Amino acid sequence: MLDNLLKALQDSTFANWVQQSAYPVVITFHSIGLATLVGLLMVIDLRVLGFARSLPLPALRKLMKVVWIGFWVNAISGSMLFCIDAKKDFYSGLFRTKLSAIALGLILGTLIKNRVLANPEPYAPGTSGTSSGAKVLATLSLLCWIGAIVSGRLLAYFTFGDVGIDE
Amino acid sequence: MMAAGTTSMALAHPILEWIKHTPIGDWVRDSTWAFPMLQSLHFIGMTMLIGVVGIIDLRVLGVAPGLPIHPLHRFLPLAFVGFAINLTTGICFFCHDPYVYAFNLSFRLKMLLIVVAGLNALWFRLGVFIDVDKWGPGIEASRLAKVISALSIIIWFGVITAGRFIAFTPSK
Repeated sequence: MLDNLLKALQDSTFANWVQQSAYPVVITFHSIGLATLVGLLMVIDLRVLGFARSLPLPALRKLMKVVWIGFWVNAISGSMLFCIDAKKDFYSGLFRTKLSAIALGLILGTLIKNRVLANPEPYAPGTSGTSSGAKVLATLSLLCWIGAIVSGRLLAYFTFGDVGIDE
Repeated sequence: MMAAGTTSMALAHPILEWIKHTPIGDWVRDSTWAFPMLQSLHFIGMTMLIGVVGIIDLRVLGVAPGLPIHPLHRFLPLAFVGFAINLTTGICFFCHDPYVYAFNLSFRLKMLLIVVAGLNALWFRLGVFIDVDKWGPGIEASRLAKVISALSIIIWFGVITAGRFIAFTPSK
């Protein structure tokens, strides 16, 4: 049932159009969205870890709306890319690793925004102003996004780690 | 490259042929893992570079106005590390098959745009950096700084676009 659905999706006129015509443009958007999403989150994470301590944490929150623009660009372009190889991707361990890393990265980013950047404690210049718990969140966030990038890149080359496919 | 043309190409371009057969070229061509891992690093380097450049440009343009601009320059070493990663991995890609890149319009455009992005950053450094100290929290950057920052974002997105189009551009 699910397999038929995935098969129908990748055989659809839309999937065919993405593969034949839109592909270079779609992967370009996917790369620009990645640079926006992960680039800004990486800088925020490094500030939480103690880089550029004279930057006020709450002022970084405004960047999160640009982070979300990057995310939606990639959710849309990524969904289009998924259509091309729906069945292969769905059963790929790499693809599932990538999506899990993204989901966890978004949760961590939201936690950092709401708990760390919104820290009501008075901000003291010269100190990082973040707890060791906040630094753990930022470190995990960096690892998640690096994991998402690497698994996404490998997905273009390998099909290993497939789960539950019966063909 | 077509197999039949390889010999004449090699004779016509001894430098490219030499680059192709450096240990780096051999390693990237022969290894299953080299190319995907180098690409992963190339994307990580890209996020480091674009993230730092992007946060400065966005602040100059008025997003997150509560950020003082001057301390953002503390992140610049990260951008340079990202650039170094991408230069290194990029050289590995080039050695892997110099003919693909050397005669590729998208690759040439990408290299040109990187130089233009560098000159644009230099313009920021020489033209408006002297005022950066004044642009503390809530203080708007000058119009010139905004123009340079908007150009910076456009040029870097152009670099990414040209890079992605290398694989879809014929090498001739």
